[in-house]
Amino acid sequence: MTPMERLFESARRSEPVTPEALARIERRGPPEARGAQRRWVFAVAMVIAGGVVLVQSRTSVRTPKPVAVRTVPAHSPTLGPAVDGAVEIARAAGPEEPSSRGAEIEGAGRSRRAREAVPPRASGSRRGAESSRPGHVLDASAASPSEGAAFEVPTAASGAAGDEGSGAASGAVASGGVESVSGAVVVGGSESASGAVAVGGAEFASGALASGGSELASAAVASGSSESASRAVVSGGSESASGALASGGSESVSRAVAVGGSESASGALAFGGSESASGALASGGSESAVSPPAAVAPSFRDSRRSRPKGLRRTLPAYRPRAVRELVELGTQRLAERELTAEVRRILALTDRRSMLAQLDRIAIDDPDVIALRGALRVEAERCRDALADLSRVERLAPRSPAASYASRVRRWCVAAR
Amino acid sequence: MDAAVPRAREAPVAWALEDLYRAHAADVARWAGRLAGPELDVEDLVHEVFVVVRPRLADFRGDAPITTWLFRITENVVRRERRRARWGRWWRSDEGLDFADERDDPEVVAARRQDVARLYRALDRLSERLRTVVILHEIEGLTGPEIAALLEVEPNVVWVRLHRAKKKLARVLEAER
Repeated sequence: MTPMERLFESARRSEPVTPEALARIERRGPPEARGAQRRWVFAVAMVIAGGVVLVQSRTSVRTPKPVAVRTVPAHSPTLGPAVDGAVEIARAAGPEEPSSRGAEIEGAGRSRRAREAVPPRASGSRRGAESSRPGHVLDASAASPSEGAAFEVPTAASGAAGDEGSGAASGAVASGGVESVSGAVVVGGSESASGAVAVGGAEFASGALASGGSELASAAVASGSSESASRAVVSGGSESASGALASGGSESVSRAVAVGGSESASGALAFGGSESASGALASGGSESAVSPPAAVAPSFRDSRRSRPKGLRRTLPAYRPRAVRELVELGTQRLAERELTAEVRRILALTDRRSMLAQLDRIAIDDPDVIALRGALRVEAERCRDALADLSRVERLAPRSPAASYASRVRRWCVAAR
Repeated sequence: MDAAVPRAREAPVAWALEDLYRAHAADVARWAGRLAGPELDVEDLVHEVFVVVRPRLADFRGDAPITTWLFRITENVVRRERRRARWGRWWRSDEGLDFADERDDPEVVAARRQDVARLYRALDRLSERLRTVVILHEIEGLTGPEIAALLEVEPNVVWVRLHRAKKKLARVLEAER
C-alpha cells in the first residue's frame, strides 16, 4: 500500500458525519428564509440610523460659560467700503465721462440691490438673537441696508457661544445653521467659517468679512452673492474676484477695480459694462480694452471702437508726416530769405531739439521763424508723447496696430533729431 | 450511497422544501463532509446549502436529477466556505472538528485524524475539478459513471481528471516528506 492509498483508506474509515450530527440535522429541519430576515434587519438598521441623524441634527453645541460681548458699531468700517466703495469709485471717474456716469448709476444700482439683499440675513441673525440664551446678546437690529450688512453682533472675548443648529463653534459667536466655526462671528447658514465675520449663506469664509450668499471668500470683504472672492473687496454678484475691488455683476476680476457688469477684468480699472479689460482703463461699454495709451488718450472717449483693429484710428494724432512737412516747409521758406547770422547758425543745426532750444533763447519777430519754432515745438511734444505711449504699448500689446504705428513715430522722432 | 447517486432522468416533480430536506439532507451532509474535510462544520454546511436551495427550488425544472442539482449547490457552498476558512486558519488550531468514528481506539482515531488532515491539506493543492473527482472516487467510493452523472460530464472526463489528480497528489505528498 502506497502512502497515498493509506491516506485514502484512513479517510474512508472516517465517517464524514457522525450519527449524532446527522440526527441533529434531521431534527433541525430546513432553514427559515434568510431574505426576510435580512429585510427586517435592514429596515431596523435604517430606522436606527434615521433616528441618530435626527437627534444629531437637533443637537446644538452650547458652552456652559457666559461670554463677554462688545457691540460692533452700526457702520462697520470694514464692510462699508464693500457696499459704498463702488459708488465712490464711480464718482471718482468724474461726471464729464458719460460712461463713467453710467458706471456710477450701474454700480450704485447693484450696490443698492446688494444692500436690499441683506435685511433677510439680518432678520435671520435677529432670530438667532431671540433664540440665544441669557448672557448671549445678539442684536441684529438693522436700521439701513448697509447697517444690515455691517450687522451688529457681539464678539466673544473668550469661549464660544453656539446657537441654533451650530456645530463645533470654537472661540466664536455662532448663530443659525453653522458648522465648524473657528474664531469667527457667524450669523446664518455658514459652513466652515474661520477667523471671519460671515453673515448669510457663506461657505468656507476664511479670514473674511462675508455677507450674503458668498462662497469661498478668503481674506476678503465679500458682500452679496459672491463666489470665490480671494483677498478682494467684493460687492454684488461677483464671481472669482481675486485681489480686486469688484462691485456689481463682475466675473473673474483679478487685481483690478471693476465697477458695473465687467467680465474678466485683469489688472484694469474698468467702469461700466466692460468685457475682457486687461491692463486698461476701460470706461463705458468697452469690449476687450487692452492697451493703456488707447485707454488714457483724450480721443478714447468712444471706447467701443477700442478693439485692436481700431486702435490706430483712436490713437492721438501724432501725424508725423504733417509735422515733418511743416518743419521742412518752414526751413525752406527761411532758406530763401535774408536772415541774421545767428538765425542761420541755428537753422544749420541738425538736431531739432538743439534747434528749438536755440530759437527759444533769442528774440524773434520774424513770423516765418516764429512759425518754424511752433512747428518744432509740436514735433517735440508729439515725439515725447509717442515715445511715452510706445513703451506702454509695446509692454502691454506688442503685436497691436498701435504698437506698429507708435514704432513708426519713434523712428521718425529719432530721425528728426 | 444509493441515495446519493443520481437516478435516471426523473419526471418533473414539484418539490416542497420540507420533503426535499427529509429526503436528501443526509446526502448533502455526506457530500459536504467529504468535500469540505475536517475543517468545516457539516451541520452549518447543510444549513447553508438549504438556505441557497429555498429560493431556487421553485425554478428547478427537472432537467437534471434533483441529486445532481443538490450536489452542484453543495459543491459551490463548500467551495465558498473553504475560501472563507482559509483566512481563519491562522488563528484556528489544526485539530479540526469531530470527523472520525469515536468508537475506535483513541490512538487509532488520533492517527487517523492526522492522516485525514494531511490528505486534505494535500488535496487543497489541487484544483477544484480534480479535488472533487478524487474525493468522490477514492474516499466516497463512487464509480466513474456515478461521478459523471453527478458532475454532468462524460465518464471519460472523470477518468482523465482522476488520473491527473492522483498523479499530482502523489507529487504533493512526495514533496511533503
